[in-house]
Parts: sequence; C-alpha cells; structure tokens
Amino acid sequence: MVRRMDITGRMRKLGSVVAGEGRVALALCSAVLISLSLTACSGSNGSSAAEDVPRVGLMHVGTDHTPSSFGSLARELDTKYGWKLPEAEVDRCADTKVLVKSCDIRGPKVELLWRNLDPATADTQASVFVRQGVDVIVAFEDKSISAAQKATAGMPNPTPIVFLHPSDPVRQGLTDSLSRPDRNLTGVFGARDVVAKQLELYELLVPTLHTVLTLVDPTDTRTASLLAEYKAAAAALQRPVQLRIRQATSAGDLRRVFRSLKPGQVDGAFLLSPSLRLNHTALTIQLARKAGIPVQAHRKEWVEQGALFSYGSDLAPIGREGARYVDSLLRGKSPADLPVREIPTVEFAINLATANRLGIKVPQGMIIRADEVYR
Amino acid sequence: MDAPARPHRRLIWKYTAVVVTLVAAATISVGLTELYFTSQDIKRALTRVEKDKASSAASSIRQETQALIRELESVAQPTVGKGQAGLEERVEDFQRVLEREPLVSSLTYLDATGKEQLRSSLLEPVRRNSGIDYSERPAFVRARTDKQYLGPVHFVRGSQPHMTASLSEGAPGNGVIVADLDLSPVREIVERARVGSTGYAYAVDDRGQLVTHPDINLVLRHTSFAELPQVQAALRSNADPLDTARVGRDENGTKVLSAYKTVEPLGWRVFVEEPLSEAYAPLRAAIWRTALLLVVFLLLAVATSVYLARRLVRPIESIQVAAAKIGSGELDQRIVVSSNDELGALADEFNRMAAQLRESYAGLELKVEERTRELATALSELDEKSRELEAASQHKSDFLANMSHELRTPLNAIIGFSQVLREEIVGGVNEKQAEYLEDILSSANHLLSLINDVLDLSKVEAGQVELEIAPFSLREALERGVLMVRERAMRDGVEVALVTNPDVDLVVGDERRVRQVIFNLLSNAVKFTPAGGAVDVSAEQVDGEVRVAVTDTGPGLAAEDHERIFDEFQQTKTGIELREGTGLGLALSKRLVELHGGRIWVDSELGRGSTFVFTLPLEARRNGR
Repeated sequence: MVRRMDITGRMRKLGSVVAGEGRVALALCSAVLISLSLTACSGSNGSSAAEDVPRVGLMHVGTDHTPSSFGSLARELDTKYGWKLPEAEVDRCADTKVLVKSCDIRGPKVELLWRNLDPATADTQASVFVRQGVDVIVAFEDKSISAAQKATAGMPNPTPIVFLHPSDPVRQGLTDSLSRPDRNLTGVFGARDVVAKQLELYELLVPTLHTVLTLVDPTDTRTASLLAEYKAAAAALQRPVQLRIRQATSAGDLRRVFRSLKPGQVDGAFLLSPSLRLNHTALTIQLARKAGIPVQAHRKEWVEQGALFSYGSDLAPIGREGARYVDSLLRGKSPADLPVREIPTVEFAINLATANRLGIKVPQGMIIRADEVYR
Repeated sequence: MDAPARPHRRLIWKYTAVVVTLVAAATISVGLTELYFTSQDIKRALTRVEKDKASSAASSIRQETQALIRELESVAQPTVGKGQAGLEERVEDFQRVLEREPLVSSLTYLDATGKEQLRSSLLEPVRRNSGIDYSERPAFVRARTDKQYLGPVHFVRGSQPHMTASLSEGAPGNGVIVADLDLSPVREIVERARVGSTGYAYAVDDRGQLVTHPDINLVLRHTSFAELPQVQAALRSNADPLDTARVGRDENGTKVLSAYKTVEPLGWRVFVEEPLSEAYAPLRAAIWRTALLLVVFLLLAVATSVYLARRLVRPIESIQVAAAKIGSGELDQRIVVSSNDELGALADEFNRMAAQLRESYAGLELKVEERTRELATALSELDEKSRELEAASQHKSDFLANMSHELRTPLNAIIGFSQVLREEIVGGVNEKQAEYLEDILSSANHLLSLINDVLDLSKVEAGQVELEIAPFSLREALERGVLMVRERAMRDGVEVALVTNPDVDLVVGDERRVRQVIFNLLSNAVKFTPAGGAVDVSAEQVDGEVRVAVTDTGPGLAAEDHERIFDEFQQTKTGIELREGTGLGLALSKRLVELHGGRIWVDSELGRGSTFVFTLPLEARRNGR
C-alpha cells in the first residue's frame, strides 16, 4: 500500500511536469506509470488497502485534456448519490485546464482511480483495472471504451463498464440494443460527430472562409466515413468551400503540415479525425494561432483556449448521467438492467477574442445563437 | 358429608378486569372511530394534493404544447421572399424556433405535395430542396385534413422518446411544418409533480406507453404501463374523476395511492402516486398516538380500579374472615367496618346474627346436654332390660333343655317297657292290651319326637348347635329319607319317587342335620298327601348351590301361610284338622338350613299341592353359628 501511494505521488509529479507538448516524455511517463502500477498490483495480489471500499476505474485516452464529464460524474456521485468524495481532490483531479494523468480520489465509501492515457497504454491500463479487481470501469471516448471492452472480454464475470460519449454504441459493437444492453457495457452517448454541422457553422461564422485545411488521421478507422459526410456537407453548403485535406497522425505530422502552409493558402483549419481531436487539439490551436488562421473544436474548453468555435456534445450532463450508471452498478445492478441513454444536447461556443485577433467579423446572429461566448 | 370447597378467585381482580375492560372498550372504540375518520381525512387530503399536482403537471404540459404550437404557427406563415429567398427566410425562422424550444430537435417544411423543401436540425446541416416524399405520412396527411397533428410517442434509435407534431400552413402555400420533438424535457415538468419523499409522477401516452418516469430506465426500456390497474381504468375513462384517488399498483406490485389528469390535446395521462405505506404514514402516527393513549388509560384504569376495588373489598374481606372464624366456632367474633354504607349495615347485621347465633348456640348446648343425659338413662335401662331378656331367654332355653331331658328319661322308660310288654317277653297280653300298648307306644313316640324337636329348637336358639361339617353323599341321604317314609307311604297309598341329577352327589355339611331336614319334609309330604297321591323328590345343582325339592299332591297352602308355617308352633288349618305334626318341624328345618348357609321356602297354592325347596351351598359353612 505504501508503495502504491509513493507511486501515485510520483506520478502526480510526473503528470504536472508533462504538459502540452512533451509528447515523448508523456508516453514514457505513462509507460512507467503502467509498469509501476502492474508491479504494485502483482506485489499486493491486486488487493486494495481498503478491501471493503468499492473502486471505480476511470480511463480516458487524451494526451492534452481532461473531459469535463469526469468532473461532473465525480461531483454527481458525491452530491446526488451520496458516495461522499473529498471535494478538493475532485476539483484537483478533474481540472480541465490542467492535465492530470493519474489521480486517485479516496472517499470513505468509494475510491475513484482516474487514468488519463496515451493511446498506446490504454489496453494495458484496462488490463490493470481488471487485475486490480475494480468494481466498475468507466471508459471515456472510443479508444478507452474499446480497450476496456477488450480487457473484460472472456471473463467469466466481466467487470461492468460504463461508457461515456462514444461515437456510436451500436455501430461500435458495444451493444446490439440500446434499450436492452446485452453485454457488460452500458452508458451514455451524446451527439455523434457533427462534422457536417460544424462545417456549416464555420462557413456562417467566417464569411471569408473559402478554403479549409482539413486534417485527417489515416490510421483512425472513423476517418473514412466522417470524411465522406464532411465532403457531402461541403458540397451542400450555400457558399461552397474548397477542402485542402492533409493527413497527420502525430504531433510531428501536424507541425509539418502547418509548416508547409503558405500564407493565404487556407482560411481556416478543421480537425476531422477523432484521434486528432482527442490528442492534438491543443497543439493544433497553437499551430493555427501561429499560422494566423482559425480552427474549430469539438468542446467548448478548447474555445476558451483559443479555438474559434466549438459545436459538440455538452459533456457535463453526460458525466452526471454516467454517475447514475456507476451508482446503480455499485449497488449491484447488472448492465443489462440499465438501458443506454442518449443525451443529444449540443453546445455552441465562440471565442470573439480569437475572431478579433484574426480579423474575422462574426455575424451578430451567430453570436446570439451561441450558448457560450468568450471575449 | 360436606361439599368440596370451590376454588375462589379474588374479587379485587374481578372488579379490576371489569373496569379495565370497560375503559379499554371505550378507548379502543373511540380510537378506532377517530382513526377511521383520520384515514378518510388523510385520503381526501392526499387525493386533493395528488390531483392538484397531476393537474398542475398536465396544465404545464398543455401550456408547453400550446406554446409549441404557437411557435409552429409563427413559422407556418407564407414567407415575404419568394423562391430561394423565401427558403432562406424560413431557415432563419426554423433556427429561431430550434433555439427557443428545447423540445424541438428538427423542423421540416413540406410543400403542398408533401415533398421536403427544407430541414433544419440541431445536429445536421440545413437540408434544402431534398424533395423527400412525405405525402403518405400521417404528419402530412393529418395536418392537411385536421390542420394540426400530434403523433404518438415513438423512440428514436430505440432509446429516447420522441413525438412528431405537424401543422398545416394554409393558403396560399398549403405547406406543412413538421417538428420532431424530443420529449426528454417533459420529464422535468412531470418530476415537479411528485408528492412526499417516496411519491413520484409519471406520464403515459394514450396507449399506456411510458413517456416519462423518475426511473429513466423504465422509459428507455419502452415500458408500457397499460397493464397497471389505475392506468387501465384511466385509459378506459373518457372523463377525469373529480376528487377521487384510487389504490393502484406500481410496476413492482406495491400498492399506491394514485390520481391522474388527462393532458389535452395529447391524450396523455399524468399520474401522481405515492406508496400507501407512505401515504398513510400520518395514519400510523395516529395509530401510535391512540395506542399510547390506550396504554395510558389502561394503566390509569388499572390503578384506579385496584384502589377502588381495595376499598370495596377490604370490608368484605373483614366480613369473610369474621364469618370464617364464626364458622369455626369463635362466636364471640365481631366485625369492625367503619364505613356507614351498605357494607357497614351488612357488618352490623352480621354482628347481630352472630350474637343471636351465640345465644341460640348456648341454649342449644343445654338442651343437647339434657337430651343426652335422658338418652343415656334410656340406653342404660334398655341395656338392663336386654340383659334381663337375655337371661329370661337363657332361662327358657335352659328350662326347655332340662325339661326335655327330664321328660325324655321317663318317656324312654315308658317306650322301652311298652315295647317289652308288646313283644310279650315278660308274658302274654291279650288283644285289648296289645291295642293299648300300641296306643301307648305311638303316643310316647309322638311325645318323644315333640320333645326332641323342642330340645333341638331350643339348642338352636341358644346357639348350642354345632354342625359337624363333612362331605357326604346327598343322593344317599335322600334315598335313606325316601326309604324311611316309604313304609307309611305305601300304607297310605302314596307313591314316592326320587329323581336326582347325576351331577349332584357329594356335598359338604352336617349329614345328620341334613337328613333331619329331608326326613321332616318327606314325612310332612307323605302325611298330608291323600291316598292315590304322589310325592316327588328331586335334587339339582343351580347357580353354585344344590337345590332339593319335595313336591306333593296334597291340599296345598294358602299364600298367607307360606311364611308363617316356618315359625314355631305354627300349623296349617289342614294340619290342625288332621292332628298331624307338632308345628316345630318346619321351624327347626329352617334353622338348620340357614345354619348351613342355605334357604328354604315353599311354592304352593290351595288345592294344587306344595313344593318345599331348600338349598345348600356347595361349600358349606364351617361354623354353623
């Protein structure tokens, strides 16, 4: 136990050191974290100090952000469902402005093990959760959901998984029926990737938008379908735009793409593939800022950090609803008793400061239409 | 003999039980009445609250629906611009509605032919001039015919409840506005209608399909509540009940108090329910209060009744104790009861009675003493007389014995010498002398027999007869008896017959005395049977004794003589007339039979002969006394 605490403390330090760009260092740290956790677990036979306190393993693949749904889930567990979590710890671990890679929130009734992961370590972390015998796994976004599903497959009594904001639970094979989940997974999903709607709004927001740098990750399985939808939307726009599609998988790829841009070549950037959105939004915002072009985002948190606008699921209610699932599972319900819920609420946020800096005159109607405006 | 004492219960507990029972009955009946009316009040109040809440929720949904319809009406207007400009104008209108109305997730404009001209939604880009055909869909058809259409609840992608609403634009465009409504926000409206801490509210559509419920899982699982009794009744009813709630059941079968309100124009029903256990929680409190009051009243009743009963019972106990002492002879007891009520009067009366009893008892004792003295004197005199009588009887017996002895000695001489003379041992006698000698001998024998009988009888009476008990053959005794009388019988022309049962032979008794009885009975029978008659002797074993019967065909006996002839010196009229017998034979026979432990009697009727019967036990008495 002492060893685990030391490791956790060390990892917190590591987590605070690595921020923003330390991509390699981050991966290295994650690997160290996982291996140390594994060692700790094998040393203690996977037992927890407080054997009678249930544990929830929460995992998210995202090297540059913490989803707001984590914080809302933890707070809802505490306030609405009475699982009593230390408020300061929740605030610290779920801070969306600071990347916290690993954080354990220990309450008297439940323990939350938060892991924010590099894509390469998702599978390992899911296995660690399984070996630790956590009572519930909460997986955020597609990559971690897929890892958790893989790790629990074949278990005689698979660990229940709550998935939050997957792209499409049925198409991803998480369940065959939303109303009657038939595996060990259930959860909440929001609006699907609304790339077409984002492009429409982009055009309305930036009257001078003629050419859009579209960044796609060829290794992301969702890229092809999203690109087709995106292209169809571009073609259907009232004011057609040209798409300059560039492939990128890593941060280096992105830097290379932006370096290759000539001034005035594109009027805005668009992150299309989910893998890029989840791991490189912060970097893209920086690169776009340097290039003097706007970039869209899928979460309002990125707008606050400089993206021109975002249009996507409101994660907070999804996290709150996720707490209901965690509570039910901790109280002994089966995933089959908990139908999957859709919360299709979307949020539209605009950063007028970014617009002003880039000389974009945002139509008044769009400002009125926005749910959140950063000035 | 005294009757056994009955167990007594203490009066104090009887009084206490009566008082407690009365108090409990009164308290319980008042409590139950109160509880009944309280429960009715609670039910009425809850019904009112639930009904109000349901009405409020239904009203809110209705207002939301009306507001929504107004919004749709605002966009179901001809546009100012024509063609593409008109379409863009409508795009803005649709966007405005999408922003304002959280229920609306998409809006579609259909032209007069049912072809899609415009579709605007929150998640997808605006779609223009797609031409998708809606002309067969109810949203278009019903809106055209009814101006307005509110569709049934359906589940988009199998999860969230949605509904379609459409509105006809009217002339000149004759288009139709179709709105897809996400019903999730309705949940908040209905949730507000919940009552109490465990109460809840939900809404079902006109088929009983759940639209919203606090347990979102039920909605997401597309649960139908059409089978719940309260929902069934509500769906059957055309009008909402006024102020009545009914007891229904929730999806788990728990009983609930349920009220509902129909949402017009959707046809939904908003139900507000509360588990009966919670609805009647105030009633439980009332029950506890009543129970507490009951306990308090009972305790008071017990205490009061014990106190009163003690006051009432104590004088009675004093009377009881005094009565017990008087009963045991302490007649100078006095009861001290200070109360001046009926119990005091009773004590006084009791004291007076005890005094009178004491006086009566004293007089009675004197009288008893006097009578006892008199009785003792009488007993002493009686004893004296008895002794005198006994002595006299003894004297009589002694006299009879002595006299018999004295009489028999000369009589034996007379008989002996008469026989000597008749036998002509000392010389011959003439015929006349022989006749006289025969008379002397006959008379002397008769006299000897009489004396012997008197002697035997006196011995029996004096208790001087000792039976010599030994087994002997009764058959032989009977045969010898018959032999002894046969000569005379033949002489008198009487036939004598003996019939004995083979099982009768040895009996135990004094053979000589039994023979004496047999001879006595046989000689009587022969004596009183006229010529040509018959005497039958029989013996048999009946019921453990031997029964000997001597039957003759003589003159018979009158009924009044049946007992009398067994007394001393008693003869029948025939006997007296015939100058036969001494009147002692049967008396002696009776004594002898009874000495053996047997009985003797006669069965006879005048003119029909007689049967003398005596019995002997098979085991004769050892001691004839």
